[in-house]
Parts: sequence; structure tokens; C-alpha cells
Amino acid sequence: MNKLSKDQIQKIFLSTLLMIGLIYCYFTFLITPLGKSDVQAAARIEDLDAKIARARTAVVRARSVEEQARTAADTVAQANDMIPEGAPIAWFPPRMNAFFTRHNLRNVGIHGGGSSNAADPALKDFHGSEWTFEVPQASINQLGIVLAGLENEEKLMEITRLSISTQADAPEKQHASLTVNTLLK
Amino acid sequence: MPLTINLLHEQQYLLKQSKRDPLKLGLYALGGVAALFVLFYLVRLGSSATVMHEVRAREAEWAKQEPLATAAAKREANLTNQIAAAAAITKRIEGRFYWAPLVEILSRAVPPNVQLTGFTGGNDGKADKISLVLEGIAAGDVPRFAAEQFRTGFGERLGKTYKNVTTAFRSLDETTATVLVNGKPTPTARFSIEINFDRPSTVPAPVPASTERRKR
Repeated sequence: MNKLSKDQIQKIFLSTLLMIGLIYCYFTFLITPLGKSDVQAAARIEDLDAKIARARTAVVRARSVEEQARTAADTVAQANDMIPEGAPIAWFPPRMNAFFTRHNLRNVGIHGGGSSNAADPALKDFHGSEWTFEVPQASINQLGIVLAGLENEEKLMEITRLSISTQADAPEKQHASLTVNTLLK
Repeated sequence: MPLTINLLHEQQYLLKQSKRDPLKLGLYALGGVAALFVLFYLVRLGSSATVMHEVRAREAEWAKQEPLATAAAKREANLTNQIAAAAAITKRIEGRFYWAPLVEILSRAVPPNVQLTGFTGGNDGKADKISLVLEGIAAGDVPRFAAEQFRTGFGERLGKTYKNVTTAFRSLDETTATVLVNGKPTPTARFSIEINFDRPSTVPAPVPASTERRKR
């Protein structure tokens, strides 16, 4: 077996150093950055996939909400149609007077018009309004018909207080006082 | 045995030494490994390019979807408000307490020997209970009994339509006055009855007051 000369040993050492340098540079400057870039790209894909899925869901959900909103829009439009434009004090008492006259009740006092919250925060475009109707004289049957008519015709109105008292000189005739809360814009 | 002398011995030795040069062999090995590394790097670069292509495709898709999603979210918020408003209006309309049926029940429940002088009912729209107070005069041989009969009878009638009806006398006092019932002077008692019952969650709308019915 030949013994390695000093020159040969130096050359082997140099070759080993070059090999180590090559491996180090290859992994440090080429493979590792590529791996990092791949990992970042995979994370970005995952992130974008999630965002795209959410966006698609939002679009589908909006379409489904649009379907529901068609009926809702009709309801809100109907409510808006029930409320004329202008100051309520200008149109509400005449409208109620016409209603009571239609039911053969004259000289009905209509007072109030005070504003109150609509109670439901969803009704931010509306507000409540308190009114009192003083019916000086009516039979109980007449009052029943008027109440039914009021509750049917004025759908945005709720009677919050009803007081009926008999007149001493005419027991068959009643005096009625109605406090109502109606929805206005 | 003939003696042979290799005159090229020196030259052959140098050639052999040159072929076995460790640096040269090392450089060959290095070149081989480098070639393998380049090959592997190219393969990795290819797969990396595929991934980057996917990223760009996703980014393009996201660029397309994002404005749609933003617009959809805004639209949904507006529509949700509208739906909530419609639901609140419907709830308000359908959740009203209807007084007409109650007055009808009352008008049918009052017997001839009882006269009501006052009716006060309240419903603040938020409370779960409807409360009313009836005041009147009951006539009978035992006027307190007549008033009690009216109280229980009216309570039973209300119980057919409303839930958890409670009726209680606030006051019941006999009076010195008498009234004629069937031509006979009858003692009277003045009463005040407090009535409470649950506000109905959904009550059918009252029958519209038709003009034809009134004409008849």
C-alpha cells in the first residue's frame, strides 16, 4: 500500500474544504430561501383561499338576503304609504276627524301629537306619537264599532289607554277617552 | 531468465501519479455533486414556480372577488336594516292589543241588573299584562251577591279568550239607594273591580266594522 505524500494529503484536505463550501453555499443561498419562499407561498395560498371562500359566501348570503328583502321592502313601503308627508299636526287631526265623522261621531276632541321613541331601535326612520281622542257621546255599540274600525284601518296605531264613563243625565250614552300611540316619520 | 530493463519506468510512474492526483479526483467529485445539486435545484425551482403560479392565480381571483364581497357586505347591511325595520313594523302591527273584542265581551257580559259607570283600561305596549278597572252598580235582593256573580261571570268569559285572568274587587259597598228591577225597588251596591290578564302574543285582527252591518 502506497503511503500518501504530504502534497497529496494537502490536496485531499483542499478538496474536502471545497466540498464543504459547496454544500454550505448550496443549502444556504439556494435551497433554504427557496424552501422559505415555498412555505410563504403556501401560507399565502391558504390565506387567499380562506378570503376567497369568505367573499363567495358573502356574495351568496347577500343574494339570499336580497330575496328576503323584497318582502321587507314591500312592508316598509306600505308603512311609508300609510304616513303622509308633512307635519303630523297638519294632517293627523283632519284624518281622524274624517274617520270619526264616517262613524257618525261628531265633535271628537283630538289633542296631543307629542313625540316619543319608536321603542324598537330597528325603526330608526320612524318615531312614536301620542294622541288623545275625546269622544263626548256615543253608545257602547257605536264605540265598539269605532274601536274595531280604528284598529283595522290605522294599522300603525295602538290604543294604549281606553276610558269609558257613563254620563249621569244619559246612562245609555258614554263619554270615551282614547290614548293612542301611532308611528310617524 | 532474461533481464529486461523498463526504460519508460519514470514516465509511466509520473502518468500514474497524475491519474491518482487527489485534487483532480476531488474536483471531479465536486463537479459531479454540483451537477446533481443543480439538477435538484432546477426540479425544486420548477415546483416553486408552480406554487408561485398558484399564488398569482389566487391573487387574481381575490382581486376579482374582493370588490364584489365589499359591495355585497354593504348591500347586505342595508338590506338587513330594512328587514329588521320590516320585522319591527310587522311585530308592532301584529303585537297590538285589540280593545274592540274586549269591549264586545264586556257588552255581552253585563246582565240587566248591573250598570257600568266607568271603564278604564291600560296597555303601555311594553308590559306583559293588560289591566282594567270596571266601576258600576249592581242591583239585587243581595246586591253584593249580584256584583260577585258579575265579577265571576265576566272573569270566566274573559278566560275563554285571554290567559291568566284575575279579577278582584277594589271596593264593594252597599248603598242606600234603590232601583226598580222588573218594577220592584231593589237594593244596590257600588263596586269597583280590577281585572288583569296576559297580553296576548298574537291575537287575530278584529272583524272590520262594515258599513252594511251598521245600516242594518
